[in-house]
Amino acid sequence: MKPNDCSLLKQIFSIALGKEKYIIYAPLKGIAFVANPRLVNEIFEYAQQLDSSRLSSPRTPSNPSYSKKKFLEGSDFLNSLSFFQAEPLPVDKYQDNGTQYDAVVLFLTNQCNLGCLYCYASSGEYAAKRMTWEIARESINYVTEEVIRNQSPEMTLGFHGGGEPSLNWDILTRAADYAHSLATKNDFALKVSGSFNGYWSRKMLDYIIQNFTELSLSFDGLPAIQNQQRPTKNGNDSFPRVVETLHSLDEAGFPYGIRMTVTNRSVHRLEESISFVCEQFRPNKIQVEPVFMEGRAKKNRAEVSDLDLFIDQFIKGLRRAEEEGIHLFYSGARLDALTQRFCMAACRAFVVTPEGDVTTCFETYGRDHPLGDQFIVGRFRRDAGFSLHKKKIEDHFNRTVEDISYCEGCFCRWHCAGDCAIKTYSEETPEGFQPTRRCYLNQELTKFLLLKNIKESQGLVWISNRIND
Amino acid sequence: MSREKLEKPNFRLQRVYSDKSSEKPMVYRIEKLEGNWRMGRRGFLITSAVGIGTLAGCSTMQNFLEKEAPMITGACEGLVKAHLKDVRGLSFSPDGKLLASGSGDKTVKLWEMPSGKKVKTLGKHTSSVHEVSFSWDGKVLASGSEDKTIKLWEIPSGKMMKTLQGHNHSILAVSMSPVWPLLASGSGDHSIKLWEIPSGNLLRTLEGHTDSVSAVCFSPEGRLLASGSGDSTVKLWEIPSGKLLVSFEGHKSRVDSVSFSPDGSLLASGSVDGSLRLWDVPRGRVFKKLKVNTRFAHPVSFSSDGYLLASGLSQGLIKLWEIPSMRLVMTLGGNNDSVRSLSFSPDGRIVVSGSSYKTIKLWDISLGKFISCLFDPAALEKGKKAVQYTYTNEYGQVITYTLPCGTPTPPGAICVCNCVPGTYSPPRRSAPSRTRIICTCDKICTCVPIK
Ligand code: SF4
Ligand code: SF4
Repeated sequence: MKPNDCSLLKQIFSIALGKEKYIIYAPLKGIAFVANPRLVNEIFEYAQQLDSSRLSSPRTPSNPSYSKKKFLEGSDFLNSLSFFQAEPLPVDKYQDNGTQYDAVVLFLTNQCNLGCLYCYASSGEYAAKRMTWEIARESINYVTEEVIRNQSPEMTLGFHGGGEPSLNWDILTRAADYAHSLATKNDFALKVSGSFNGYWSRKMLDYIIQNFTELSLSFDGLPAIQNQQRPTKNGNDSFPRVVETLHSLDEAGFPYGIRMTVTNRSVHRLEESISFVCEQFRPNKIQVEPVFMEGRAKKNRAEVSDLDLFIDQFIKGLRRAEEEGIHLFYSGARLDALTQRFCMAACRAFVVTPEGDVTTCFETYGRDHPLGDQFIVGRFRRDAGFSLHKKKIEDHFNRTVEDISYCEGCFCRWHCAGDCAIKTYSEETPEGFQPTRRCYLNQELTKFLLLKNIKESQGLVWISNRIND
Repeated sequence: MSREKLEKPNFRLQRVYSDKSSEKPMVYRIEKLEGNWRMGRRGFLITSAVGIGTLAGCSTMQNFLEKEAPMITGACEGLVKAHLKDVRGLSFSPDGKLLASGSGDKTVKLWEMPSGKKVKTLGKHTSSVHEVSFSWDGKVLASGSEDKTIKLWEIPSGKMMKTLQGHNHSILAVSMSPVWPLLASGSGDHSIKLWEIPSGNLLRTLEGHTDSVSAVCFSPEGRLLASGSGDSTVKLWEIPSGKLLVSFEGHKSRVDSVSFSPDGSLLASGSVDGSLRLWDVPRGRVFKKLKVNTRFAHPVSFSSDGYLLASGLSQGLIKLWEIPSMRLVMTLGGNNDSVRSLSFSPDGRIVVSGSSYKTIKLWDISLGKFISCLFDPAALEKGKKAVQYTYTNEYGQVITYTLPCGTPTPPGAICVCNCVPGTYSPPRRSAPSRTRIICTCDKICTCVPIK
């Protein structure tokens, strides 16, 4: 730990709730409560004293009894929680070892059978590209070798991309079968998953239920919204067929999550959509995200302009999902994660586009992507296999929240961790980071989750499970 | 997500200054966090929470107050008028470079934007002009008038192309389709007519309203037409078939203005019953109602990103509402002149408002400031004179604009000491006195005759 990192003043945040009330939050400890100004000031002064004593005599333990000043009466509960003891920063296992691939993610095609109004990849507007078996096989081989070399217990095979992977069905099934055979042969566990639109035939469904371990399905909820935002390529309703898929998955007890995208046109009905999904289907999780302004989303002006409405609807939906025991979440607000990186793609995922380019991000669907140059870090050649650009990979790998000065004073920094790399990417700033409006969502929803947790902890002090671990 | 300048968050633990710092240190208990969970930018509304001292007694939390929406003021100097009568219609060309205004003085004027220089007066109506609208390609301007005609003007030449006749009462509203060569007109004869542009052929007459049609507006993709009427309804028509799809009822008096959100999902209407309504277009029902004033028409206009709705009120006020929450975000205001017409510029930065006091005001919404009032020397009262100024704006463009003599020199502007021809009579060569008019420049530019 660098001396400054253990500064208590950097580890405790105060979040104004309005006049005269502040959430005091220590994320690394997982402790939060609502204080009045006097308590805020007392904690501040005490933490300041401890910091300066620790800096002047680094070996002095951060022991509250060290303070000459008698800390506020009744603060015993804070001391008993070691509230004033600095915590090490959350550093993941990759930090020292570098990239260790244990997931191979294949973008099988850029084509789609739906024509979603907000498609970030503007699917169907570019020349058709399909992954060949050679590229799929070599990608799986590449990661299998890494898994064996690193003695990783498990490998993940994922299907993703700027199109619907099931449209390259032959390669999808061959890849899954091939990965299963390698896993058996080399004795590691295999997870098969992917992101799909669920507009499938019965045959596909049966195969997926048999051969996949989990799934993420994009589905926007109410029939009117699903049909409006996610029509088929020919402009027809996609709802009936996707619903059949969802019912079949439920019948088979297959674990899947739903990914719901929210636009300006649907934000006012988000709660209804969540309720609808909770009533009709049994996903184990629902991820709700405001649309990302790329591709057709931009063209169709789909951006959620009223983020407060999003928050309001999300919170109402959360109540509904909790009643049904379904985990509803938004990626930027996750109190349960304590991390230095928003996503692990650059650490562990070998992501390959239909053309055989390797990227560090699930959204870089190919060379047509506006940030293709920045996020594509390698390529496949028939004669030479995969060649990777080490320096570029390192740069992406090294993007951690500690190096984003904008996030320094943010109480979400160890949860949101600088948010999604590609959504905040900027070539114009030295750190390659530019905040987006998502920060507002991240902060407000995290704040809400804190209050909710406090409320559920007899209304007084929330102590996360982490502290007991 | 769009990229904006976002303030760096600072939630570091720090000392807070409060008049309550003499209280005992306390931890609050959150007893209830449900019911109204609507949050404002300043924080949560906890409907009920009791602060308990760590050891001390109880106190009740105050309700959190929403920050008041800022008020931006801007007034036109007494003589700075754009028209000789009230300004009833405003429309930006699709590229935002021209603004058209229609007035009770029977004229239509074209203004260059953003300099605000008047470029043309199109004056062939024989009665008040109620509404103006640019075609999707900016090449045609339509104006509807109390003289029962619609005129089509070629842009930029300003040449009159056609006079459309067919209504047998005043034309109260015109709207050009944003995608097709189509024009809709609403009239005192209770009907709406659809015209082909530029031929001027009458395509269809839409009947259904039982009173004057005072507002028409095409949806952004051109498939719907909304109309507002003296019969207190707002109706949606399918285009081009002209089939009546839905009649929104709820207003209690004449609907004077309608505007679609850029994604077409919401329709705003302003009525003389003093209310604004937002209608959910796909579901065909009211989405939000807002009482804003009494007995006054409310022109309404959506910003191009759909994030704001501007509504004009009496007392010269314009309120900007965040959509769809309908939270007030800004009030623009100045003199007491009723706002008769409103329009957002296509880039969403500027709001123009036309008033019953003959003025047109420009507001910069992104910077939250009043810009200026448009001025046409021809709108000066008899005997008054105008002078020109040059001004270098923030983009380094030198803009020449004209103001009446006697108004204070605007900040940063330089008086070029040149009285504007047309606002005074240049002395005839033979004039024995050889009087010339120049202007003197100090804080106030004054036109003075000299020998
Ligand atoms: S950087 Fe963002 S989009 Fe890319 S994989 Fe990570 S979370 Fe997904
Ligand atoms: S400042 Fe924004 S990006 Fe950074 S941690 Fe906070 S919410 Fe995330």
